[in-house]
Amino acid sequence: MASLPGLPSAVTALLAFHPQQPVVRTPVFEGPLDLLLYLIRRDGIDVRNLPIAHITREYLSYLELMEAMDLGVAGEFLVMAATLCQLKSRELLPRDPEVELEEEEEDPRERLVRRLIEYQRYKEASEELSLRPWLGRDVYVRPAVEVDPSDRPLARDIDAFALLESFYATLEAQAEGEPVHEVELEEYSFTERVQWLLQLLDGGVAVPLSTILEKIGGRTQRVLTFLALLEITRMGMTVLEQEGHLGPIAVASVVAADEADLTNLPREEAG
Amino acid sequence: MSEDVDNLIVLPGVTVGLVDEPSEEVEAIEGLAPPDPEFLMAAVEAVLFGCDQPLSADAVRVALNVELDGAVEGALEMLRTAYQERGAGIELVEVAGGWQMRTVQRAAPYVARALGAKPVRLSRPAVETLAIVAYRQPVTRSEVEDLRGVECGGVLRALVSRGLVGTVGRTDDPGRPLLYGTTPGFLSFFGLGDLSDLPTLRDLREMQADDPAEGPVPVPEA
Repeated sequence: MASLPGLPSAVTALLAFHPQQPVVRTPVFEGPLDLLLYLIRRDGIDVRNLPIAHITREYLSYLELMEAMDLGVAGEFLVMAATLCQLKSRELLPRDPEVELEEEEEDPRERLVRRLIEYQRYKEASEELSLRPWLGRDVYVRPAVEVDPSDRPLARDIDAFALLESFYATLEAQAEGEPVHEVELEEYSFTERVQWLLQLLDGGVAVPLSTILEKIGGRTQRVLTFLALLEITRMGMTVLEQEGHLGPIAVASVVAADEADLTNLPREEAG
Repeated sequence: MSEDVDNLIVLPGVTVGLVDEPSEEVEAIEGLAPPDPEFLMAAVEAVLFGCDQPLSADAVRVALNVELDGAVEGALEMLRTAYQERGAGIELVEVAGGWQMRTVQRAAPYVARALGAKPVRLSRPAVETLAIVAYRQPVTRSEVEDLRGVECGGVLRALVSRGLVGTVGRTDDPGRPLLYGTTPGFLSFFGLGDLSDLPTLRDLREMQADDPAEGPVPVPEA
């Protein structure tokens, strides 16, 4: 294990660092920052006083190792290698004080240090998350039982994005099926759409939004119906329910169709 | 606008008591007698057992038709303590803004075996990405990628499809990139009551302060 001919010296050194691990279990790094942090920790370096020359050398030899092991080096690793080499050459070159002043605002070395510290912080946060009791790994709940969905209490807090996505999904799903040769003059009436919706939902049973939108031919009618639905929901005549995040959205009416007060609906556009 | 509609007042938000003719359903609920005081804790337990989703104290109160403020909360606390004190295999936890019965962690291997299910897994990149989304939300994909130093599109998509992360809007930046945030499913998955239960990043900064800093470098606030 310790003497593998053909591998660069840095590789042998790394293997010596983890003598108990077989070659295939060499840590796989999520990205260049991850690898840099590993090297920093391994060599006991203070991140804030990052020795660029040293870390660049170690980083490059690790890339060599990864290539030697056919791990495949992703582009991000190479970009970081280039950044490190640039930082190193920058430190070697004498600086022009005037140029220095202009560059002051974003010292690339400081930026790298800041990114490393920031990344380290989130890495630790993710370790914290990993230690929590995960549902389905450390703790379990009773699985769901099939219940008639119309009897479930309505969750009012559904997000607007899910609503829009549901709408667009129906538009897209039906876009191709529409005949392109028929030209009809359609009658658009906001109030008529509201009445149609309330009639459809009369009885209080929740109807999936997709089912409602599928009942309607024509894009314009569908848009109008969708707007009508938003309006009467805002007015409290209908409620929207969603089973969990990104779940299907259903609509239920809370007023009787023939008792709904439509006097406050937005006025029809003339013409 | 149809003119023939009655001037009937329909209150948005459905204040049941004020509607003239309550429907049968409403009557049935109103007629539901709240549990007797000595049965309250058991009724709370039954409701939580019967529902697979976390229920807020208020949802339990509505289900039990209990009007008294604090009675359900008290019963919930008592129930939680009762489970703890008898070393039960079930515990009552507050997750995602509600209460839920969960198996205790110590029993996990047995439950998994009974279910014949492999424990849920999340890859390291997935957890890392989740952590960034959780602390930085709302956050764009490119911000996550900048912090992690790698491409994150696939990981984010996977997290969205698992219901742990969702889109919460778009920025006004060119291209109107999507903003991501964590979902209630995220809180439930990690057993968090709400986002404030996450360890603060300040804690993390203290954790990493073990290395002696010579020249103090200003760390920009997150």
